[in-house]
Amino acid sequence: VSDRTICVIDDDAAVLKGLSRLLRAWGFCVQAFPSAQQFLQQLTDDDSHIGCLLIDVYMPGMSGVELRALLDRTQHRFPIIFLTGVGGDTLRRRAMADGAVCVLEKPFDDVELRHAVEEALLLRSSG
Amino acid sequence: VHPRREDLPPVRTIGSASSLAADADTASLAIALPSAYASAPIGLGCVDRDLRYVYINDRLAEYHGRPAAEHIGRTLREMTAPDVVDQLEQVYRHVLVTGEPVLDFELSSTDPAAKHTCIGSYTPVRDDRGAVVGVNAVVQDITHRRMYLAALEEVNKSLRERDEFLHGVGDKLPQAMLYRATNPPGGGFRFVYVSKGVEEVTGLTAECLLTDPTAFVEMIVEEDRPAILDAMAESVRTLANFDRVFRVRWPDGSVRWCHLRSAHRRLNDGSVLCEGIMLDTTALKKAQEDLTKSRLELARISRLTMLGEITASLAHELNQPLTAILSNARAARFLLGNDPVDGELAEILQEIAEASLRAGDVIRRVRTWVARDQLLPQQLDLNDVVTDVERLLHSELIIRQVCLSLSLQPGLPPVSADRIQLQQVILNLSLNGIEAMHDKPVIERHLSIATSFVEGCVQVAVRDVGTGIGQENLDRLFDPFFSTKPSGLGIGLSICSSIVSAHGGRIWAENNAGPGATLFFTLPVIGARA
Repeated sequence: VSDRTICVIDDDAAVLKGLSRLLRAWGFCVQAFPSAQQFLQQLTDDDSHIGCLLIDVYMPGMSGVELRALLDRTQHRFPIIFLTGVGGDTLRRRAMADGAVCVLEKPFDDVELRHAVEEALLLRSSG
Repeated sequence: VHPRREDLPPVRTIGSASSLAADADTASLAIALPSAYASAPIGLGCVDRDLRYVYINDRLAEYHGRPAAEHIGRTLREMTAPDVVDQLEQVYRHVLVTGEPVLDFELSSTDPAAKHTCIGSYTPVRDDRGAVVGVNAVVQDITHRRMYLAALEEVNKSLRERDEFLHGVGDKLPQAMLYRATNPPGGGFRFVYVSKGVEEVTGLTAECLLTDPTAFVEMIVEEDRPAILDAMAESVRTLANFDRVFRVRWPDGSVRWCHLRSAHRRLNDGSVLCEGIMLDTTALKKAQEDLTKSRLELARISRLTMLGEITASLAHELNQPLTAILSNARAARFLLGNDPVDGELAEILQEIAEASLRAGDVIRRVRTWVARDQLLPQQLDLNDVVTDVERLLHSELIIRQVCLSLSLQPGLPPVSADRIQLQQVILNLSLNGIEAMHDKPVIERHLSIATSFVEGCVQVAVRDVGTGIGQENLDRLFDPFFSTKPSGLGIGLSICSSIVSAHGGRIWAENNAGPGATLFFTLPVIGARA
C-alpha cells in the first residue's frame, strides 16, 4: 500500500463518502472533495504527496474532463481514474486517449476499483 | 362617302336655270340650288383651264381659310396653301389634259400647326362639243375621320395584343393547360380550346382532346372518376367554380396528379362555358410527401433521443446511490475481516453488494436497448451537419412561420463526431429557439445558425430573438428535467448537453444584447486536445 494520498472528487456526497470509506478500509490515505474547484484550492506546487485522482466526469461547475485539461496545462501530472454514471464507449475512448488510467462505470465492484487504484499508484511511483 | 360623278351638279348649267323654268317647282329648285351648294357640308369648287376659280362654295373656301368671293377669278396657286399646291396643280392639270377624272385623291397638309387631311374627287367639265373647259372639285376634310380610324386601329391592336398575350401565356405555362369547353343545353361536352401545355399535362395531343372529349374523361383514374364527373356536372348545373385535385393516367400508363380549376357561365344559347386551368401537381405532391416524411423522421429521431436521454438521466441518478451502496457494503465487509462469528453479517453485506451490481446491470441493459451509446464517429464538417438540419427543419419553419438564416464559415476543420447525434443537437437548439419566439409577431421571428472556428474549436451558435433566458436559469438550462415551458419535459437541451459532453465539447447559453438568446456549443477539432 502506497503512502501517497488518493484524491476522490465527486459531487455526490454519498458516493464520495462510500468510496473514501472503502479506500481507507483498504489502508489508503484518502482526501475527499465535493468539487473540482475545492480540489484546486488546496493544490500547491508541491503535489508529490498525491498518488492519483478519482474524478467524476459529470459535475456541475467544472467537469472531470475540464479539470483534467486544466491540470495538464498547469503541469500537474497525476494518474487519473475517471468515474462515470452515464458511461458510453465514446467517453471511454476519449478519456483513454487523453491518458486516463481507466474509466470506471458506476456502479463498479471493489475488485475493479482496487485494480485501477493500484495500477495508478504504480504509474505514479514509476513515473 | 363621296358623291359619284353623275350626282355632281353640272357646273356649267348653274348659271342657266332658265331651261328648267317650265315647271314652277323645278324653277324654284333651280333658284334654291346655288345657295344649297354654297352652304353644303362638303367642299365644292370649279376652275377654268387657267386654274382660275369660277365657282367655290363656303366649305371649300373655309378649307383655304379665305372667303368664297375672294376666290373667283383668282388661281389655284394664289388661293391654296403652299405645302399642297404643287400636288393639287398636278391633279387639276392631269384632269384638264387627259379628260380623266381623279377620284378619292387624298392629300395631307404638312403644316404642323394645322394638320389636315382631305379627300377629293376631280372631274372634267366639258362644253357642248365635249372639250374639257374646266375641272370640278368635290373635297371633304377627313381629318377627324382619320383620327377615329387611328384610334380604332389602336383599340384593335391592343385587343390583338391581349389575345396574343393570353394565348402566349396559355401556350408557355409550364405543366399547365388553359382550356375552354362548352356544355350545350342538350348535353354533351367538348373542348373548344386547349393551350399547348395539354401534352405536358395529359400526355394527349390537342387534336385528340378537341375531337374526342371522352379521351379526357377516360384518362381520369377510375377510382377518382365518378366523384370528379359528379362534381363537374354539379359545377355545370350550379355555375359554381370547380376546384379539384385528382389523378390521371397517361397513355404511357404512368399516373400523375393534377389540379383542375374552372369557372362556369351560361351563354345566351343556354350552353355553359367552362374556362379553366389544369396543372400537373405531381412534383408538388411529391414535395409535400417529402416534407411529411422529413417531419415524421424528425419526430422519430426526437422520440428516440428523448427516450435515450431519459434513460441516461435515470441511469445516472440511480447509479450514484448504487455506487454508494456498493462501496459501503464492500467497505463494511472489509472492516469485518475474517471473523467467523459474524458469518451471517458477511453474507448480508455480500448480498447487498450483489443486488447493487444486479441493479447496475439492469440499468446498463435498458440503456443498451435504447442504444444511445452506438456512436458512429466519423470525420465531419459541421457546416454539412447544419445544412442537414436546415433540411430537417424545413417544414417546422413553415408551420411556425420562422425565417432561418445560415452564416457558415467556409473551410472549417473537421471534427470527429456522430452525424445523427450532432444533427440532434443543432436541431434541438433550433427547436428551442423557434419555441422561444412563439409569442413574437411573425415578421420578427428570425433564427440564425452560425458556425466559426474559435480557439482551436469549431463553434456553432444558434441565435433567436425570443424571450431570452432568466438570469437564474442560465446555469440550469441544460439540466435534465429542467424546463421553463409549461408543456416542456426539460429533455431537449439536456440531450444536447449530454451529446456535446460525450464528444468532448462544451455547451452554454447567453442572452443577446438585443432580444432573445444564443445557445453555443463547441467541439474540439481532430488532433486538438479538449
